[in-house]
Amino acid sequence: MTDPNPSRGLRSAILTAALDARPPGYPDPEALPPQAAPYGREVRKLDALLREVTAAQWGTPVVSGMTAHQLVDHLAEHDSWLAGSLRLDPPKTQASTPDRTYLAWREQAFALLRHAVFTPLAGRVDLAGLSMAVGNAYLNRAFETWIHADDIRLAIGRPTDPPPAAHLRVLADLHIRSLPAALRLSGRDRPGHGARIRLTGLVREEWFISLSRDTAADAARPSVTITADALEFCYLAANRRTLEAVPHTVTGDDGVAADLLAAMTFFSDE
Amino acid sequence: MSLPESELRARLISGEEAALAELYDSFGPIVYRQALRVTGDWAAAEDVTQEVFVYVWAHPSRFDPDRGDFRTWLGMIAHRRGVDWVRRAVAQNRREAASADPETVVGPAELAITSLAHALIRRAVDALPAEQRTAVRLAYFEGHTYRHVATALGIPEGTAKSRLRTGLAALRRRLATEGMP
Repeated sequence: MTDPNPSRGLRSAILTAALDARPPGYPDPEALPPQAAPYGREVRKLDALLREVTAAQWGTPVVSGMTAHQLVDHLAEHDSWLAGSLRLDPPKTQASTPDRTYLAWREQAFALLRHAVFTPLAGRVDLAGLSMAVGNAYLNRAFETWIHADDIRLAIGRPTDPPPAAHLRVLADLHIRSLPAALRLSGRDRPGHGARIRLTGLVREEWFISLSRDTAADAARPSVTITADALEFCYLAANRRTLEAVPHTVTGDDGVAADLLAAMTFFSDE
Repeated sequence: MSLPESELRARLISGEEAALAELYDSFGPIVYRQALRVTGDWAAAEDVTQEVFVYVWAHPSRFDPDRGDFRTWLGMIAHRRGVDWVRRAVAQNRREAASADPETVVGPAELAITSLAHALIRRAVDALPAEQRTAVRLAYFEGHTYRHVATALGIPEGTAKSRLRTGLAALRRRLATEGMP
């Protein structure tokens, strides 16, 4: 063995290959706590997607009258509520070009993820007037990031790319657990009533929720049972499907079911 | 564990590019030499070194500072990846030997069966005169036939044959002195 040292070019080849495998500033996803793992994955996916968006596609109308550029700006603004609550010093998202908007979103999202790696997700934050546990806020960011990424994919002719089943499960779980609050805040509180929600497809699981914070309902006798496909249920929750477009079955009290279904999209604003 | 290593781990986890550069500058040559010992092949050792650092960059949280230092961990990964490379190379030699015309295939791929033997052989090959060394490498380690060797080196087939024969004989002598049959 006459040459005990690697060639000079190896160093830069390695740095390039490594940064292709994981961009700088994006923390090791295996180090993320479970509640931030879905956000980690959705951020990575959206980052990869946005890197390939062409100049023309940035101007494409995507959803709610917003272009891809405006949608990313809107997403970054919502992220900044969490980043601000955590005092992460959010970058200014008032950006003029798609590139700057993308980089501002990315920098802030990566900072949120690094925070989750090194700081326990304890306590509560205030997101636009809604108080929630920090862990739930990260799930909420994952949900919105996924939905907007899919909005952009659909607008530029790509297939949707939903989260894997394990992540879909926690996102659906968060949504289902927030339904009693949605009922209360929309004036549809149903004391004494409970609902069973049965998801099928990628996530096969059942939930029981009391339809009022004040009175515990009897889990053995739900007033209503709603069954739907897990992925479609999430799209419905995100206001990306009309109720008519989502195959579902309702058994039990129709009035309670109608209130519950009406409250489904309470937390989705776009 | 010493503080700087946990600190370096944290910086790698958070995705700090400079931490990766530091890691490479501290351990790159060690990893490379470990890979070279196992594979006996410079190009393979560089590939393995790259695999090791890309892996570590992708999964820095798998480094447990309580169980050892970076040097040991990197060396272990380099060894494992090097052995994987040797296995692939041996399997490929076998495949090519099996699929080619037995009359025209040069030499027994079995020469390279275990990684230890492989390393010894590599060392012996490295000691051959340049002309024989190149011919033997092409034939044994890249699985080329006489004809390919001749074409690749731009020499007549007869010359390729005789170089391989001479090289192989020299190899045998050398390996015998190292205790290999």
